[in-house]
Amino acid sequence: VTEATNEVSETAKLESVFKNSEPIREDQVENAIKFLSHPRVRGSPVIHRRSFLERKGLTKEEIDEAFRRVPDPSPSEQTAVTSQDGQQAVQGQIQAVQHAPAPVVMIPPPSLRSRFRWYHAVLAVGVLAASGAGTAVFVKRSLIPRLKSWVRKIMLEEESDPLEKADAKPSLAEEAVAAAKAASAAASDVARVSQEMMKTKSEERKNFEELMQLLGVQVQEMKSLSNNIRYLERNSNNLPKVYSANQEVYSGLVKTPAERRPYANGSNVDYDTRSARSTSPPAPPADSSQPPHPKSYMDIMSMIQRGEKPSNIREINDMPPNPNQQLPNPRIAPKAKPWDYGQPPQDESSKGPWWQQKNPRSADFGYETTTARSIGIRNETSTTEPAAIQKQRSWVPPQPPPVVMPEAAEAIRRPKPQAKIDQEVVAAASDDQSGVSDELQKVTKFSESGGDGSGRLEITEIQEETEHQHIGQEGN
Amino acid sequence: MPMFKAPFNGYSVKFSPFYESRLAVATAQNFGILGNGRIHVLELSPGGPGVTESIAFDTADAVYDVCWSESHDSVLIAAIGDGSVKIYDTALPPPSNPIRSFQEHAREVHSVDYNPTRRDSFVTASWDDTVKLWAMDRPASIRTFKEHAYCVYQAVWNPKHGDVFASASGDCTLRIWDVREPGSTMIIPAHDLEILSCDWNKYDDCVLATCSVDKTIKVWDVRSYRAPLAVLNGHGYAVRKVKFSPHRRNLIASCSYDMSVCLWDYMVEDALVGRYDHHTEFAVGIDMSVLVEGLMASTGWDELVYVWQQGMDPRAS
Repeated sequence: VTEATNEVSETAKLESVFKNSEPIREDQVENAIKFLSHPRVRGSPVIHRRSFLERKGLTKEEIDEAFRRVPDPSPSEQTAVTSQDGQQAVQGQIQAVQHAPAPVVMIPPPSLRSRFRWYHAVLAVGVLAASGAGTAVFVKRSLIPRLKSWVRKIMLEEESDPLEKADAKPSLAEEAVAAAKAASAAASDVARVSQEMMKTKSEERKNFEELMQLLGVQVQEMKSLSNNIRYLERNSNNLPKVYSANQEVYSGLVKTPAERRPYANGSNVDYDTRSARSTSPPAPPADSSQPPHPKSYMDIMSMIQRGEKPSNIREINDMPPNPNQQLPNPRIAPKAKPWDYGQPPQDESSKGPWWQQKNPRSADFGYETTTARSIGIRNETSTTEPAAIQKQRSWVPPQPPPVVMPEAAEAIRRPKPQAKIDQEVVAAASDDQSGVSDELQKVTKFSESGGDGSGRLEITEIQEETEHQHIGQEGN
Repeated sequence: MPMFKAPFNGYSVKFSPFYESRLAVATAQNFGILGNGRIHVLELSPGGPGVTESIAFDTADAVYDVCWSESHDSVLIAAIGDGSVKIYDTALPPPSNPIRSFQEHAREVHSVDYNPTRRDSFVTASWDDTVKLWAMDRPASIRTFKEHAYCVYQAVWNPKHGDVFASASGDCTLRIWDVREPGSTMIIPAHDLEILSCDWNKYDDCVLATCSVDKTIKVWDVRSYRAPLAVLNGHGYAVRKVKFSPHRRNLIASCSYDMSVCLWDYMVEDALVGRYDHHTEFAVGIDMSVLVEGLMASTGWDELVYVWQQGMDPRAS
């Protein structure tokens, strides 16, 4: 029981090395807060903000702390909206660029653009509203007095013409009616005009908003395009050097739906403008050596860009013919790994099939004497390392096999008794220092049968030998 | 040392943990851009240097990675470009395969790694920014780890601690996870550019290596992770895969877009200890045999698979 608890505590100690146990660094958190408070950053998806901070070396705890401290009204809504916009913009761009491969353009920094959008929109709406109000006021103030003066004029004309009053009485009435009709007509005219003005105003506003939207989409598209260009520059190493690197072709490559390459990640461009960019590869010779196949990589890429499918692709049904096909019974017990013993195996003599035979000058790995060698950049402490490692090369006590936390294991998977038995047996066997290399040979080279009957290996050996009997020479 | 010529571009190669002479190769048509895929199971001929194919499985989409089960000797698991994870039984003929297909990842699955200590689970890494934990006999993933901000290129189990794995991502971070914890337990901003691969030191469970588009390999100790133990320069272009030797404590193998496979000893001043230039296109897959010390394999976009002993010429017949 004490053995088990020791193992648990040792494993717990060992496995805690895979967690970061440093305390939160306040200076890093404050830098992160400054970054997160930047207006440009606030409009970006949360995952991009996190990724940037991770690349700066902040731990998860530090990043979480910074997010907690930055007042962020509705990060989830923002991210949902912006990521959707981003996606739509990218998709729109896929079509756009396919039809018209965009030349490389220098784009003004996105910050100015975004600010331009907001300010301008607010300003424009304000101007519209003001002009609308102004027009309404103007109409009220000028048209109506005009109407009034006109009516008054008519009345005055009536009054200044008494001679015609005799038979003008009925005509006066008629005229009054006519005037009233005219007034109402004028009023309705005014109403109609003002209505039309309202309509045109709202139409103008709509048009303006549409324009702003289109501008916004354009901005997004250009942003993504510049992202893609920078991504491609960074990844120009990822493509064959034998073929020429045409910028236009590259920008087309990334957008094709059939394109295999991973989609562009826009996070780095906006916020990490100082990040290192890989230098473009040197221009390859104009006519590279002919590849052995008619279709080179670039040929296929340009085919796909044009929307053509390579003709050598077949329709293949690779679904399971019987989805309930049973897993086969294993015919061989799993083998222990050479590192399970805690130290590298001894050098074995080169006997046996050709794939086991080594170069007699086994110290020299490379066979080419004219190999260009470069000096790796060393850590200062590396010179002391070899001594420490030399000490470690000698036999060390075997590490206990990883102990399974039963609850966790149950939740995740069924424990395999077979593998556990193997490991325990092998671990027990390695206690015997003198017999390590012998046992290694027995376990790892199953082509040799039998052994000297060391008691602790009995179980594995019996298993192996029964397997051998069943499968005969197949293992070879 | 023999080579095998595949019809498609090579992406990954893995030795079987059960059979010394067996290995699996993941390949993809049209460089993996668009097209079918194929998994080859190869046997090293015992009589003399030679590699032959024993069985192959066709897939509708590219196969980016393959790994052998550590519990069932005939089973292998494939990471497919259409986001599916497929399980194959090499003891059954191709028409009876695959025996399982899991469609959960939203994008290409780029790597698959089987747990070497517990032997009952595996992790997949995908361009959908997530890592998933699976067991062969479960119809759905057990857990999804969603923290990376970009494609995850590889997830690798710790060789000693069955609950711990590391993930390498295009968001330039290396993350350490414990399946018993809700999120990652460590975040290491290992490189300034995308990290394409990582692997644990088999003899020091706190040490791991990463390699990146920035052409370097860095070796880290999780106990003092702010600065790397070593930075290995020498590759001319992005380093695609990195692998710690199962037999020698400080030996690292790597392959790169500069078409070479290199061997490094990171504890030594002049770290580059070997270099092989047998590939004529991107070298994208390497493995070192757990059963046979010194045996290595590599594959690349030149559609070739090489198997050789360290110290020998991969191309010598």
